Amino acid sequence: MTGLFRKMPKSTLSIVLLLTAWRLAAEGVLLFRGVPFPTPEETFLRLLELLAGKNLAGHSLYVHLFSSLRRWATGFAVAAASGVLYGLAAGRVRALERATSEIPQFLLLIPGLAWVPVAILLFGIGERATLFMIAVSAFAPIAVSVLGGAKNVDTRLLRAAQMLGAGEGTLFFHVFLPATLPSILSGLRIGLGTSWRVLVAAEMVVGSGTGLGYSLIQARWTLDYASSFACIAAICLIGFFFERVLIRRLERGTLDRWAPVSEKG
Amino acid sequence: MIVLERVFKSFPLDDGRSEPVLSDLNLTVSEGEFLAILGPSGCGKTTLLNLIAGFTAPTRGRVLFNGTEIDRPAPERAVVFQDAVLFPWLTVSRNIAFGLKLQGLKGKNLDEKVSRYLAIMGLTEEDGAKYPHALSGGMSQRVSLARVLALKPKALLMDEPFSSLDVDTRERLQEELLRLWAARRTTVIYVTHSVEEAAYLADRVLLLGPSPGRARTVPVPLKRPRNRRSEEFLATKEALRGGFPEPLCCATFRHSPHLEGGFRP
Ligand SMILES: Nc1ncnc2c1ncn2[C@@H]1O[C@H](COP(=O)(O)OP(=O)(O)OP(=O)(O)O)[C@@H](O)[C@H]1O
Ligand SMILES: [Mg+2]
Repeated sequence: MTGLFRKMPKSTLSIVLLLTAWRLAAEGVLLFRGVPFPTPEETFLRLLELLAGKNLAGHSLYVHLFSSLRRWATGFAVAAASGVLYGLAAGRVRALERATSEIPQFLLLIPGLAWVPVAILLFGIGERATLFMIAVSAFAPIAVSVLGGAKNVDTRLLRAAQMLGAGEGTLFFHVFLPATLPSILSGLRIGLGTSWRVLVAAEMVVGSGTGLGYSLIQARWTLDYASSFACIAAICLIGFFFERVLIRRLERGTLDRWAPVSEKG
Repeated sequence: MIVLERVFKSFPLDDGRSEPVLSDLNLTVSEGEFLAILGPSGCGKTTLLNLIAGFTAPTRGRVLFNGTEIDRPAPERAVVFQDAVLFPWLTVSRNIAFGLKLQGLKGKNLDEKVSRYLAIMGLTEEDGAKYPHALSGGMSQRVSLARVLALKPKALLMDEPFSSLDVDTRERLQEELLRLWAARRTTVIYVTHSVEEAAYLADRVLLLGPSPGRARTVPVPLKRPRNRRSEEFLATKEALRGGFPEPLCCATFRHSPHLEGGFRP
């Protein structure tokens, strides 16, 4: 039995447990509250129907998916670029760090949805408000992580490079940047999760007309809970995909080769 | 030739005062000389080496290399750090290539030179493909030597390079260092805790006492190759131990295991 457990990938076990808990919750809700609660099977079937082209809040699932992804990619790209650049710059320039390093710390404390009034005042209801919320929420964790890494680059590495003949450019691109890469990747990973969650929440609130968050709420209004759940599942799967496939692959190509996790302690 | 003229170095303390580490230090190291710097922990050995490397500037006084004041690190004054300080994101070969590339070497010439220095330091081509995390302490130190020797430095500054290695590895690397030094007549400044190491390697020993401003140099009157078990060798060790410029307040220091050439705690 334990042998079987060990052979399965870690995520399989988690998924099985999660589905079991969901199943039990569905039975429980039906039994005690008398309300139908979409089971994993129903949700899965609905997801298949939606994938087959069933209408959801006026569009196909693909339209919602695509518009969520486009929003997310734009917002995240802005956050990633500004967060990484800011973190690197503040890590190199003492004065900039002293003047600004608390700002991302403050931003970090603001929950994504708290930006709704700010976003609407700044941009009105619509696309740009959503993008603003994504970008501003993902900026903070990326900036904090990159700055932390950039500040803690081992001076001995920089000295070693200098004594081997490195000038400012080499020092930055061939020492400072790779030395900061672990923090950049972990910042991006956190920012990715943050921005994805904020995107869905923003779509639910700002009324974007399309998107997974928007259709999740619309389906709920029409009491089509199975579709709501299918949207949640889609959101979750896509987030998981980004985290695992994109970030993990980047890490595997870099950090893991430099120092495999098993040896870091 | 390396010349220190009335060098004074202090570090600011938190309470606004400053702590002198080196005071009024005069030293001339001639070309091709092997100088050891010997002294208890905290007496300023690394501080002194950093001045010559150009990592830090003296508070007062001048540090000259072949007549010009040292104001920055450069490959002509190569450094071997206590714990190698290789770039973890580069393979061994690329670590060795780092400085060579900055000297404009590329393509086949570069590859050949890297291979040659791998071989000189007793490393295989397979070792060359490894990342630093996969190396033993001794191998790391070989790489760290290879990457600077490849640059044909005029002076080699070594900060307790072999002190964290086991006795066998340390003695083997000491032999290889002496062989390379004899072949190339590079000036070597070698920081150590160990009287034995100083007596075995150096032409002359700079004894740095625990209080600043009390330093003197003592020649090592032994022919090479030296025998660690000979009468003269033991007598030289005693003379070095007794030669410190002040009664070593720390009787503990005289009898400390560091100075017996044993392991560091
Ligand atoms: N950057 C620094 N800032 C403040 N104090 C420093 C700094 N570098 C060294 N010191 C102080 O200068 C003194 C000498 O330090 P140094 O590292 O040169 O000693 P060391 O002889 O190399 O010792 P060890 O054998 O333990 O390596 C110590 O008291 C240390 O606290
Ligand atoms: Mg030291």
